[in-house]
Amino acid sequence: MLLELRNIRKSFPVKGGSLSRPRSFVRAVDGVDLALAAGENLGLVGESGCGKTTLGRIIVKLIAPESGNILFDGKDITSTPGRQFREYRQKMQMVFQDPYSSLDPRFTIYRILEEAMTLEWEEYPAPAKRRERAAQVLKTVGLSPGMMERFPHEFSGGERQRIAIARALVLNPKLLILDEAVSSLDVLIQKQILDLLDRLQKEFQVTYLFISHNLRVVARISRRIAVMYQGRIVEAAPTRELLNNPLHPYTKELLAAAVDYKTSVREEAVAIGPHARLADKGNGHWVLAD
Amino acid sequence: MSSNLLVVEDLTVTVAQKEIVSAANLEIPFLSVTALVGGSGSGKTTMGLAVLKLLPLGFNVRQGRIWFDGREVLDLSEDRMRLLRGKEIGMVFQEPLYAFNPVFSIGDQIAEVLRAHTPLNLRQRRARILELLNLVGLPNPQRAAGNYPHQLSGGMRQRAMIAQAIAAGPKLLIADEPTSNLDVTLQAKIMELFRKLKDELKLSILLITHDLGMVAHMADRVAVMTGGKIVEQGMTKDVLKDPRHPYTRTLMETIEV
Amino acid sequence: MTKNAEHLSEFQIALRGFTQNRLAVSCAYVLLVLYAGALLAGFFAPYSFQDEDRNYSYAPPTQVKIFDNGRFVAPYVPGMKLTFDEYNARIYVIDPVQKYSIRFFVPGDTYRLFGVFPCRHHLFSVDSPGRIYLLGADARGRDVFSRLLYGAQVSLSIGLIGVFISFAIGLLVGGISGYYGGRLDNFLMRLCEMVMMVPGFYLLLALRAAVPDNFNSLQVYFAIIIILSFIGWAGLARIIRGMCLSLREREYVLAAKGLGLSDIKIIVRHILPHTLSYSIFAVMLSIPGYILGESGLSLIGLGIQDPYASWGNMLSDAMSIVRIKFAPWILWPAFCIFLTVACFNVIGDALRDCLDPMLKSEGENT
Repeated sequence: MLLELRNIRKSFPVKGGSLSRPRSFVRAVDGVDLALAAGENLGLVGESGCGKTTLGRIIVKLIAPESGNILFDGKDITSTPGRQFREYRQKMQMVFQDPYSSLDPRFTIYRILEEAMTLEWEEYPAPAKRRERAAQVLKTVGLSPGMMERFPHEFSGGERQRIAIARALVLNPKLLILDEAVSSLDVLIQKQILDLLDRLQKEFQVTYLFISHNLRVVARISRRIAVMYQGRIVEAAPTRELLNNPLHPYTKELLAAAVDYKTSVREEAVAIGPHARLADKGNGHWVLAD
Repeated sequence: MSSNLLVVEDLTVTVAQKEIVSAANLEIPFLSVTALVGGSGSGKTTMGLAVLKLLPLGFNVRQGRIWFDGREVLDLSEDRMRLLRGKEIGMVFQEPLYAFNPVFSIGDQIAEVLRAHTPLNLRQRRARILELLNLVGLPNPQRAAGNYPHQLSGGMRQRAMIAQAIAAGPKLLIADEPTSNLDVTLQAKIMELFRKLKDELKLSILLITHDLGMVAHMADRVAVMTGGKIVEQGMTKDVLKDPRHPYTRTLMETIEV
Repeated sequence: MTKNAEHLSEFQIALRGFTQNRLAVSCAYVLLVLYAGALLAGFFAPYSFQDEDRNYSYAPPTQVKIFDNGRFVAPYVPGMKLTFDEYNARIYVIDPVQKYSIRFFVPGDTYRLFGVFPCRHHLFSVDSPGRIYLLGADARGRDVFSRLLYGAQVSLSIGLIGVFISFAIGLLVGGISGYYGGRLDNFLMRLCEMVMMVPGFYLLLALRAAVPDNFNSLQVYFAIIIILSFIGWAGLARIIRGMCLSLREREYVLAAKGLGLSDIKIIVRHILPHTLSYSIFAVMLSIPGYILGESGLSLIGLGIQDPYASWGNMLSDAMSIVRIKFAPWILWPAFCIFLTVACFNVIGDALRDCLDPMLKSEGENT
């Protein structure tokens, strides 16, 4: 298993007054178990606020989980201290949603890519080597190395997202987490980026964890899909299986919305019982049931 | 001409010597949903703004004519245009947070539209606001009317903006990427709302979007736009069954699952 | 995307708007002239700041003549004699016989150029016993023009150095406070508020009183700078802290964390540069405050002391309406202060106008 998550929990305090202790907490991630095998792209789907972004950030340790374990390549990295964690940072990188704010507008493209080499600084002792690597990685994502002296605002959304992907690839990570990486792009550009990701996977043996609210996009690139709702995984199955045979009511709703642009008729939120557990329905298909 | 609510003929819009819209033709029949599909930079938003003569500074209409309900639009004075905007044509934008004034409540902002275009008195306006908010599916209209824009979630804000756009009872609603910032589930709900409004209010809709999938499920007619030009136009089922232009075919590839 | 145009960051593009504002650019030139005068005071000034001649107390500005009996000659300065009229008021009479040519690149009093290199040459002067008072003389017969230049050295430099120190402290405190948040933030902000609570001028006087009496002039100069900086950092720190609180949520900051950069590197490379759009014009607009602070202190005798010149202490002479009536040229330092403050304000406003939309758009992209 490349990545394993066991019972991850994370709550955030609901903002009360600044002087008073916060009264209530929001359970952003409420006991999530997840497993990702090398080469098997996993799609994580859910609405805004379901906790998928928080989960992504917990995996790369940008947020610390309250409880639970993260295992990478079999090693427990939950409580690895900062300095030792650096070698894991090199192995997993993240691409963010907004190409307009994930690149520092004051940095040239070269500087942005150079910064990515920080963790492996010894590999690039001379500026010439760094330029070479930057040019190499830009070519990989289909951009011209001549763009290195330009600034992010001179590029379109799709191009910026390619630069963000290039930045993530500099360190040759094994795991790439894409947090709504195509959600703010046009459908045509989305397709181009997804095609690029396909190509990169074949070339570099990198595994994707693709987070999105759109089942259609996720299905395009994932071998397996996990559906998240209110901090919990409610269904997980291989892609075709999930699309042809959705079992959880929330999954059915997502599917109808993403593919047919139809809403479901339900009036209240889908209920999740406190003792609900994921049950195996065979074929690698797991559903949350009481 | 008489069966069309909006006709755009040979419209060319330029900014700084560059053509954003080139000789574009568009027809929107009464009681239909027409989609204008294209990627970013295709000129579709500019076309929508041109109909309302709300082009930003620096944009010029080099040539072309626009008829709305039989009347020529481009010749109208600013005063006459103001009567058209809101009362006969409403517009909904992509980011509701920017379309609303953050220091006024939703109710106040809808009231502003009613004051400008309808002869209703205070009590009638209050009732109409609640009626509108209920029509767009906001769960607690009384509370929503008193809320400020930042207090509502994204989906609810979008509904409030639709309420404001239809407040004065327009014949045409221009929706410019109305759901691009929303989740798929909210997107589906807004699409359903549009269908409902079209049937109940006899509203025609010009849907500007980049998502051909949305077009397939929503629109009766579609116009495909790229590089400022309308490259294909017709009934949705015809265009999707037999796309002629290579750009349309490229777009078709994006709706496979 | 243009192929051959230069590639500028958004910041540089915004600053271009400044160069198109003619008023602001003119003010920048005026300041340049003033600062150049201060820097090269020794060269431009014919006399040292303490060169007195009581025979010429309150002498009016000497007239520079270029015609002699209708003939065009090299510029010269007529002699002046002090006499008293029927009311025993002092008047200066021009002595047509004495003529002193203005000479250029004249050796005179020694001075130190930039405080380092000893020099003897002045741009212009007249042979003694002639005196050239371009802007008149003060009570002790010291040349106002020369003292203005030497005074500029003090007044203008205190503004710059003081603001620079405040700015550095403000950025540091604000950056750390905003980035880390929590208890550290709380503590630092309460500290800022305590400093801001005390009314500015009283704090200034109190701190000045704490400076020992036996400090020489140079030490007093530095003490004043430190005092002024101490009062000024808190306001800037609070605003920088507010900006950093929101900047640390930006995705490029998260990306940098994900790439393993240390906190200090992130603050310095990614967060503080984005506060520059605000800091630059805040600094410009606060320099006048420092200049006026020093002038105020010197005016009431607590700043730079005689014989050293500062625009403030030159004005303490002008606190009598009688003297102003008879020797209005002693108000020149006031005009210089006014000009400097006005120029900084115009430049600060222009900077704010061109950087503001950038500030706004940086905020919108989140």
